[in-house]
Amino acid sequence: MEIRPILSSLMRSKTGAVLLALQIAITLAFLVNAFFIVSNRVEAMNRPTGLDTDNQFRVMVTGTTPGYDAAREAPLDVAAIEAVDGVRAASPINAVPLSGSGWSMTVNNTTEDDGDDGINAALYMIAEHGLEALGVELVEGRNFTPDEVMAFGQNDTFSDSPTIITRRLAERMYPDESAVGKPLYMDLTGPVNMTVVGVVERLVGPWVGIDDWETVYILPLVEKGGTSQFLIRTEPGMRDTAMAAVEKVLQERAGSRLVRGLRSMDDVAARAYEDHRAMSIILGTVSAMLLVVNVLGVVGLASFQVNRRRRQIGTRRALGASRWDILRYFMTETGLIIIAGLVIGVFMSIGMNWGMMNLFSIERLELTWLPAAAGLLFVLGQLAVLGPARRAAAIPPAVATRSV
Amino acid sequence: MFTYALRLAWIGLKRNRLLTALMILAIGLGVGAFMTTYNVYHMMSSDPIPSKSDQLFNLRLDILPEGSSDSPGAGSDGLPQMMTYKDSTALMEAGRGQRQVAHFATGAIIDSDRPDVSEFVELVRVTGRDFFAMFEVPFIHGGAWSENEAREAARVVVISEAMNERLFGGGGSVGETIRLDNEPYRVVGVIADWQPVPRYYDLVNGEFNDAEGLFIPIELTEPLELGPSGNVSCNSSPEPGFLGFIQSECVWANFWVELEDAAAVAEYRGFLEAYIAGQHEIGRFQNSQNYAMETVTEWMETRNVTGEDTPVILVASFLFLLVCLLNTVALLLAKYLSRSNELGVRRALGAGRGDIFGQHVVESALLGIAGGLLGLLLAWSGLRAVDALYSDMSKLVVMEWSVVGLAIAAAIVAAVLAGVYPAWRASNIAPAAQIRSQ
Repeated sequence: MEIRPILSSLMRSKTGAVLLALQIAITLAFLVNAFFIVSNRVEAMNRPTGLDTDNQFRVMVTGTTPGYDAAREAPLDVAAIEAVDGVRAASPINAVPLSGSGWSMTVNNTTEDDGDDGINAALYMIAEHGLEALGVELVEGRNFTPDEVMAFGQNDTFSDSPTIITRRLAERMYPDESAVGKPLYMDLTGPVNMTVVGVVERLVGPWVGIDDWETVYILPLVEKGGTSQFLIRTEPGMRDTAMAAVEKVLQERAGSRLVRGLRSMDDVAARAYEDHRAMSIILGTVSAMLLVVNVLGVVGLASFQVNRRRRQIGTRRALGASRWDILRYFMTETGLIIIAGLVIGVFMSIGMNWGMMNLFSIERLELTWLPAAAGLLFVLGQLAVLGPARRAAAIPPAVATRSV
Repeated sequence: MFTYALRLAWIGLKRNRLLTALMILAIGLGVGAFMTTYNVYHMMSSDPIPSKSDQLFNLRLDILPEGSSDSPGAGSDGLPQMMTYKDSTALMEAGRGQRQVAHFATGAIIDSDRPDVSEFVELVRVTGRDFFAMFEVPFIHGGAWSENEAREAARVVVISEAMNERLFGGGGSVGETIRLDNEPYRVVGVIADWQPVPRYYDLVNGEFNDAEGLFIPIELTEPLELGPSGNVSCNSSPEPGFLGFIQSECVWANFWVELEDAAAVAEYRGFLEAYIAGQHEIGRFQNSQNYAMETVTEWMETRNVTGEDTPVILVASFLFLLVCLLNTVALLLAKYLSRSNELGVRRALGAGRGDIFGQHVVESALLGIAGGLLGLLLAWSGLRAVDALYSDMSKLVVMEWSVVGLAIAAAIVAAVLAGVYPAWRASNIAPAAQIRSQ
């Protein structure tokens, strides 16, 4: 392995080697950080929500006549919707999970001032088929009964209600014990005593990615007013036909109403995660382009070196070097440059991550990505130089004897 | 002499077409990628109203309950992101700035008398009459409602050109009647297509959303019980009923004041601090007497309108451009040095170092122009791709002329810079050495 001659020859034509090493270094730093960001985003997109997004959709109905009361029409609408072929359950709901808009209140396990200000929790208001429409799993206690469901308007206030909460909220309010039967308090134009009657395994709030995403509580309330919003769940595969049918049924059921906002939960979820998906695609595309540019660069540079040294290669062959020796020489030379670039790149990766941690809210890099990216770059570089190196090896020894 | 350099450069580029193509591709990709992200970033962050953005101030008061620092309503500066209805209308009525406006958005069912137009639900901006003059909203028919009409809570409405088209088929509709939630309103003005990017007058409820198509006087809030459609943040419980709600400490309104110079700003601050102190006496503002009075661009910065992702992508595309340029330097070096024989002969025949250097810089510049044009084409497709990936960026993928110019200029400058070192190396090739036969 003739490393010393290679090194001394590199030293004489430093610039090309330095440029390539720098290129490799920046590419490694980019790849490592990009892989890291993309893996975080993909992980975020795959977090379980407790829903059944393939088979759910929502629709809104606005009454246009004065005196229209959504709370009065809602049970009739639910019955009409559930009669549609393929619909499994429907419920009025005040906010749609993952949609980015909803209600959030502060809840506490006591009304006394014990230094603990309570927890911020998302609030869903549903009727008796709401849990089934949401697709969530009840793990303790029971669902609401039909006579527990109340109408709720702006001028209304109430002081007692049953509530169903998520396991995450139960763990925070009542760690180490069952939350069923325990009280929960919120403030709504006056304190409200709620009693936990059931716990669901998981349900996410409307706002994606906030810290308290899974602290959610549910009340059996139907909003009064001009507009109803329904969440509907269908049997697998029936969603699209059911969506069209439900729209028609709601339009025909009662007088002049505006049926609008018909959207599948898949659509809502896609919109919620749009940023993550776009970032992953953009970083992935730029990474691929970066690899292409690097490969082209290595090929270009290596070809140039081979052309420049035709006489030298010919001479070596004439003196007894085999084709394999020549090939190995060029592979080693490029390999050394790439390794030098990768070493610089390791420091650049960490530096870049540190910079991004301070400027943007990226987390600290996990170094597991480093060997994978470095390995990929090394292999690609060697593959790239293979072509020119083989052409170099094909240079006949007779070149040494020619005089041009 | 320059035309000779151009001819030489052209011949040089044609000589090794593959290498030239590779270099143009590298420059084009790098410039294209960077220009795509720069265009989006530029549209997001540039001043939407440069003629008076430093005279328009968005106001926010600290109505948080005592001892709150982590309240969910507080933004990054610890203050609520919007104002209460009672504070914003009180300050608007006090009228101590050159102009001032309180506003929020509500939803309504819109209907006209024409049988061929079916009713629909729309967002309506409920605002003081100064809105139009303050934000320089252009009218094509009529104008804003009068002070009298505001005082009397007249049912008047200003509509957009698009809404005019939808409801009346276009034409002069001043004096016509439409219904909002079954209440008849008289049209007093039609505004031309106006879509500020970002929608700075209400950054909290969708910074890149469309401007509303209907505007009604804020004096109608109480008589018609107009509730807000958007973010509502209550840090203490409101009394029941609509009146209780609009008199509560819930925040959902915006307040803007126009102040023409530093003296006016100082005077307004004095008035504001006295107002806050007065309210403090009666038990409000117990957490602090802080307030935020920010110009358009300052408020955009506080709200982080550019978001978290765009700057990261901007940096990523810049790094990509850098790698493309390093690539170009290496390829140019390879290309120019492979002409050693020719250059040695030319030097021996009398070409000076400066001539050789200049000719190679011109060659790099030509590459830059070609790369820049390719980059523009790629940036245009890049922006189409961004539009496909994000549902709310349609206003940001419009290519501005300034960005087009910047792309070409950046490509030429980058290519010339990339070519400086290789051109210098080329000009250093000694004449005599190449004439001897090997």
